[in-house]
Amino acid sequence: MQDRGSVDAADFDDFYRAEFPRLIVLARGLCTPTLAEDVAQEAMLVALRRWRFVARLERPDLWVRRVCINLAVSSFRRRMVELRAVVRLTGRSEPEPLSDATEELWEAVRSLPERQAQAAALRFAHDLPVADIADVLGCTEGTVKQHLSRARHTLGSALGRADEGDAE
Amino acid sequence: MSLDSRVRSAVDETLRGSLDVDQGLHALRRTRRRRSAGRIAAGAAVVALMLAGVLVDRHDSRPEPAPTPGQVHNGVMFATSPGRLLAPVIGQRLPGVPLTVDDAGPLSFSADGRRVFYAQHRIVYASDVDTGERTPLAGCPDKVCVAAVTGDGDEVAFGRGGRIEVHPLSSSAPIVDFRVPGPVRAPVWAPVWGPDQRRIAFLGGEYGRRGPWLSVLDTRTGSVRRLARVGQTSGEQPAWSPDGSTIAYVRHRAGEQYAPVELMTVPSDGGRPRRVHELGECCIRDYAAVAWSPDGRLLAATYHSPRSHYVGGPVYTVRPDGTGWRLLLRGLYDSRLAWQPVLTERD
Repeated sequence: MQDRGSVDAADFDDFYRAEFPRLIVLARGLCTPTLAEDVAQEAMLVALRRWRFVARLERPDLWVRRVCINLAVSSFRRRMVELRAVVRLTGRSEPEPLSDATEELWEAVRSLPERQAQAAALRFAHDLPVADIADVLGCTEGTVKQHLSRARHTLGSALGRADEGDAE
Repeated sequence: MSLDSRVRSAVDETLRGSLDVDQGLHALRRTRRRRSAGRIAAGAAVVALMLAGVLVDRHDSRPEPAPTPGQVHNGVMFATSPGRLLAPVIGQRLPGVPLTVDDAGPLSFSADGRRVFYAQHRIVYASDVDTGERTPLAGCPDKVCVAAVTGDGDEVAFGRGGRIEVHPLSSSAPIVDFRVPGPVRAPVWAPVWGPDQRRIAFLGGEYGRRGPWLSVLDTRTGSVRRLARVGQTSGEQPAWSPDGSTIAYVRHRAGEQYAPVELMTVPSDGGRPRRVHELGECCIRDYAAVAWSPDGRLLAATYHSPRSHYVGGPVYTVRPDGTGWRLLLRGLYDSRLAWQPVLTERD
C-alpha cells in the first residue's frame, strides 16, 4: 500500500515552493513587513493542516490566497500572528528593509480601503485575472474592476504619478 | 516610471528579499509538529477527563425517560478532538470505537447501532461496538479515503474525483460508477448514505466563489439533485434525519470576509433551505460538524470560534426547528460527530 503521508507531503512541498514567495508579496500589500512572512506562513500552515481537503480543490492556490487575505485583515487573527512574530523575532533582527520606493508602494497599498487593497495586492502579487480575484474575494467581477480602477487612481495620486496605464 | 513598472520592480525586489523557501518549509513543518503535539496533548487531556467521568456542563442531567419498546433511542455520541482522537461526548467509550480515524473517511453507526464504520490507514472497517471485533470491509482506492457505508454495512460509496463509486460488499454485484454533474476536476466530498440506503448526500459539483453544492445521488436511478449551496466549505459532512426526509448541513455564508457559519436544514427531495442556528464566525482553521440524534429530536453541532486561541470547540444541541440551543459539553471537539442509535425490543 502506498504511504499516504509521504505522497501528501511531496504534493504539499511542491505547492509550498510554487506559492509561498508570492504569498509573502501578497501579505506585504496587506500588513506590515514584520508580519508579512508570518501571515503567509500561517496561511500555509492552515493549508498543510487541511491538505487532504485543499489538495482536492480545483484551485488550491486561490484557496490559500483567500486564507492569507483573511489572516491579514482580521484584527484578531493578525494579533495572534503578531504575538507569534514577537516571540519569533526575539533575539533576531527585523526583516531586511526593502528600498524606499518599494516600501513606499506597499505602504500606499496598505493604506487603501480594505477591499481595494486586497484586490490590488492580488493583482500585483499574482497578476491574477479579474475572474480569479473575484473568486478569492467572493464578489463579482464588476466589483473587482471597480476596486482595481479606484486603487490605481488612488495609488497614482498617492505616489505622485498620474498613471495612464491599463486601468480595468 | 509608470505605476505598472513600479509595481513590477517592487514585486521583484520583495521576491528577492523573501525568506528562503526551503528554510520556510522546514520552519513550517517544525511549527506544525509543535502545534500537533500540543493538540494531541490537549486531546489526550480531554479524553482523560472523559474517562475519569468529569463531565462539565451537561445541559440535561435529568434521568432519561424509560425507553419505549420498539423505538429508536439515542445512545453514545462521539466527536473527534484535536489530534483526531475520538472522544465520548455522551456516554462511555465503547470497546468497538477506535481511538483515531481517517479524517475524510466514514464515521457512522450501523442502523441497529451495533457496529461502527470508520477508516484507518485507508481501510474501511466495521467494528462491533460491544466486543471490539473489527472486520475490514474495503480498501480505499485513493490516497484520501472519501467514503461512506450504508446502515446495513452492505455497500460502501467512495468519492473519486468528480465521481461516486458504489462497491457492493455482500454480493458479487458489479461496482457502479456515478458521474456527478459539474466540472470534471471538482471533487466529491463528505458522502453520507441516507437511511433508505439508496440515496447519498454529498458535497461537490463545483468549488467556485459560492462553494460547492449539497446534492443527493439516487443510486437506483443515477439522478443527482442539487439541494443547496454550502459556501466556502471546509468539507463538513451533512447529516440525514432518521426518517430521511431532511438533511442538516453547515453553510459558510459565501462572499463575506468573516463569514458566519450557519447550521441549516433542507428537504432531501428538494425545497427551501432553512436556517436552524447561526453558529458564528468560523472556521478558517478548523471544521464544524453536525449530527442528527437517532430519535430525530435534536441536532448536535460543534464548531471552532476564531475568537478562541484553541482548536476545536464545545458541542451544542438544538431542536431541528431552531429552538432550544444549548451547550451540551464544553471541550475541544472538531470536524466529526457520530451518534449511536439504540433499538429497544418490542413487547
